[in-house]
Amino acid sequence: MSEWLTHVFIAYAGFTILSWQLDRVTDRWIAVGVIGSILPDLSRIELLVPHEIIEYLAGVDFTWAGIHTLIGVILLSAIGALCFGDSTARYRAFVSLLGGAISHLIVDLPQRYADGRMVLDSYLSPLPVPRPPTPGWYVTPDRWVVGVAFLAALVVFGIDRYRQRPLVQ
Amino acid sequence: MHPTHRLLGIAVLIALLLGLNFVVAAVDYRPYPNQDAIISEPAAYDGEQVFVFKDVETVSTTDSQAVVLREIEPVVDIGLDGVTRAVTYREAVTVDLSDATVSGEIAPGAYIQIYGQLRDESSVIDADRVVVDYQNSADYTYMYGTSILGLLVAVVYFFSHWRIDLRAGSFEPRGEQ
Repeated sequence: MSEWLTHVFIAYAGFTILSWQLDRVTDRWIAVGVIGSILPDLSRIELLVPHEIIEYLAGVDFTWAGIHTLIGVILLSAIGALCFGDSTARYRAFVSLLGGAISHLIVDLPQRYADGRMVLDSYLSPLPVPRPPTPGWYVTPDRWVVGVAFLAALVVFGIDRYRQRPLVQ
Repeated sequence: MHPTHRLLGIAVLIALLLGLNFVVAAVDYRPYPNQDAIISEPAAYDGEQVFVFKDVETVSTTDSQAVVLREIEPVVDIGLDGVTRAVTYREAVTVDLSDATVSGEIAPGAYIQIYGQLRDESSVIDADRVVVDYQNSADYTYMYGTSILGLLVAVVYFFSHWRIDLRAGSFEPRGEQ
């Protein structure tokens, strides 16, 4: 995982760039997509309810890591989508949340791992998936990461304002 | 959508999500031996490759070594006074760093990834590569701080475009009737 501020900035930038091409991606759906960028890390519920508590209650192995998977974020996006009013809004909320969540999973991929490989397999767990080599760009506490993400968001924000400027004769 | 149907749908999806977490926990999808297997038969895994995430207990000042713990500490009781855990297994494991590539600085309290081979009845890991994830408590503070800030930004941004319609139990766009 990267920290959430980075995920939020990257999702904002990504969805805003998309909005230049797709009219349906309006500001309110960008805001939903940004929420989506946090969904995979809801696995951090571990800090509130350690998995050992569920193991004690259920008597079998348990992990919250299932949330930080593709199926996990599809289910979470569907839960989020059900909180929207009409069927069009629910569909758009689902796509926005899932898009944000997938941006999170992609941002997490190039992290540094001691065995030199990406954790791509964990995204599709329990299905077997190969692990391509990781470029090992960063670990979570690297301070420069959020700086890069902030700059990206700032540049996109500036271009977005420029595109929306009123045309003056 | 009727609020009852909404709640029913959410309940079903949460049940599926919990189920997924049981399935993921039941599957060993990495080729490395897991901790339970090593504990039950330590000698059988000598020479095997492992990839583990551990807290550093101590770092040797004389040798290129660090010590991490192999431990099992399950919840054994949940009562009125909270959650009780018991250490059912604890073993100090020496990480031999003499031939290792280390990125970051290893210190007691650091959270590190170790990739290497087991030896001496699994009591030593001959590390090939070590990645320091969290060097010290400041790294954790930074991660939690920026994450909470990120969550705040996301929530404020969201509610600048949406409001909660309590009667319908749903989010509705702001500025629309």
